[in-house]
Amino acid sequence: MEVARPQQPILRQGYLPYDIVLNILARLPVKSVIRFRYISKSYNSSITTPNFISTHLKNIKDSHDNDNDNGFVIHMPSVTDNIGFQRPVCTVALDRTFDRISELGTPFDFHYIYTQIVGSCNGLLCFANSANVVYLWNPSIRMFKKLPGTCLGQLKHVTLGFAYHPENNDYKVVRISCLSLSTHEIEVYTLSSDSWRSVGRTTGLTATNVMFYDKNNPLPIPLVNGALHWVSNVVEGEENRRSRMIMAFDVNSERFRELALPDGSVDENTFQTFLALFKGKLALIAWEPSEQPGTQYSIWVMKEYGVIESWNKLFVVPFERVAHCIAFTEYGSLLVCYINDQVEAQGFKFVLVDTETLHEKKDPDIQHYSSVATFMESLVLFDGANVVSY
Amino acid sequence: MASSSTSVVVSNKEKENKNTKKVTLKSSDGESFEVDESVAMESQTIKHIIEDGCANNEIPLPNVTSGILSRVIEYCKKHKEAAGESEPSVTSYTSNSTTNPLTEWDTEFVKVDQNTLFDLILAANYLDIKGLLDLTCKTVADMMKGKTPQEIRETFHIKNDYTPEEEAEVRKENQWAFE
Repeated sequence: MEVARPQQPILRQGYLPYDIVLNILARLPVKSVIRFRYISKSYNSSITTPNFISTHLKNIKDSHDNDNDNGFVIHMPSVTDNIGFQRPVCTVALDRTFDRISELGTPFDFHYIYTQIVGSCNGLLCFANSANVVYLWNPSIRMFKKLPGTCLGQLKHVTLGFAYHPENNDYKVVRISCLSLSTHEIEVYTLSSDSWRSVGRTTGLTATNVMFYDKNNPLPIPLVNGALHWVSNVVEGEENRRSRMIMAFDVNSERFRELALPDGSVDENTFQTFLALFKGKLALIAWEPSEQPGTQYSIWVMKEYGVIESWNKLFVVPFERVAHCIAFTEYGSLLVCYINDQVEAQGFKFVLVDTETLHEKKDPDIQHYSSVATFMESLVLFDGANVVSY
Repeated sequence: MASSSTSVVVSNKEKENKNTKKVTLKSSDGESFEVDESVAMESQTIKHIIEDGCANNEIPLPNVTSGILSRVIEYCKKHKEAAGESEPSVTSYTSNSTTNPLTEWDTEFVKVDQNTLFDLILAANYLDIKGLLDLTCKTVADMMKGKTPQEIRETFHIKNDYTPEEEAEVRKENQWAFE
């Protein structure tokens, strides 16, 4: 058949119908799909449809299920004064060991000091810098997109979350701007509309004076059960009780819901708390003093989403000295940094600990304070508007 | 390979299944294959025919030759057996493994020439056997990885409707994918 898309394919010897060839193309690695998009004009248009991209993504995920423990992360130096990169180099590495797989140059400039990976969904990464410039980037297909400016007046003390919205097969960036200790504004960017939209303040919350912003949080805001989760300090009730709670922003309804932290997980001695994703479940990482000299990280996991009683302290990871948390991977590796290491006489020393076995990897191939997120290949953004190829 | 329900050595399993319903499938070249109904129903197409009560004596499959049909039946039998024997998969909290015990058998099964492979794809598509379609398509996809676009066109008989200039231009845009 030499017609572009036959309505009634004649099954001649060795001829596969159009839809089956597409079925086969959807099982190829990303680079092959890009190479083969130009086999004909009709295949090119079929490949750049949301349907094909979704099927391709599903095939990638299915093959991951059969190939466990081979997840990837991507990490990037959070630029500091000493380094001053314009275009930091990102490294793709194995989730378990941080063994380096490849390096990618970021295709956009970051002129300011601090850059962060906001999140990663289905192979699409979200980056932001301290000047509130936000990018979406899919390194596998070499395409990126700069987001438009804010629709809110002034941005102060910003925290961002990045999510996939399955109901609409869409992607959202949530920006919370903390104007003061008690007021903040929220806007949501959706990829399909390519615009920001204000969603008002603290929609759905009963507590007042919610403080989301934590400048010391190095981890991406985790997406679990269709919601982005922040640990916040709240002031509640007439007695003005201060406590910490989890604020879960449902990506579909765009409303907040409150979740309690595990009983006894946090007290006045706790240094910091972070939220992360552990094997598909919400995890709380509490950095606290330990009985032995040094500090420790307690890792709690909410086994049944939404059920407070199901919080379970799974791991305790001790460190002899102050160890700053850089990342906690979905596989369960904790990446920490010792600063001003007197013994090694260098600025930073990184250690990777497997939380299940407590096995330490003293040299995990990281040189700078970094921002870390999960990584996978996909065609997401392939059909996007206002997208830059490089 | 026509399977017979009256084999000389009757195993215990066959004794148990003596009353298993059989169905006869007829290939395009007139050969008949008798198989257990449960095996035949691995094909959604055949399942619907049986459920609609249209399977009288034989189910004719004019799109499938005997050579291909016998292989398809082999696949369905093997997978039906494996489904019957395996325990429900236990997903432990800390382990993510869900391995397919038939991976090796499947790999051997698809070690055939390209024409046979394509015929298996067409049969799996027509008979609506998801596992077989996934397996055969994945096999072809693996074969394609190292090829050039022109080789792909030849394999699938696709006409190139780009002019040489257009093709050079689009290739330049995605040069990195060709390295």
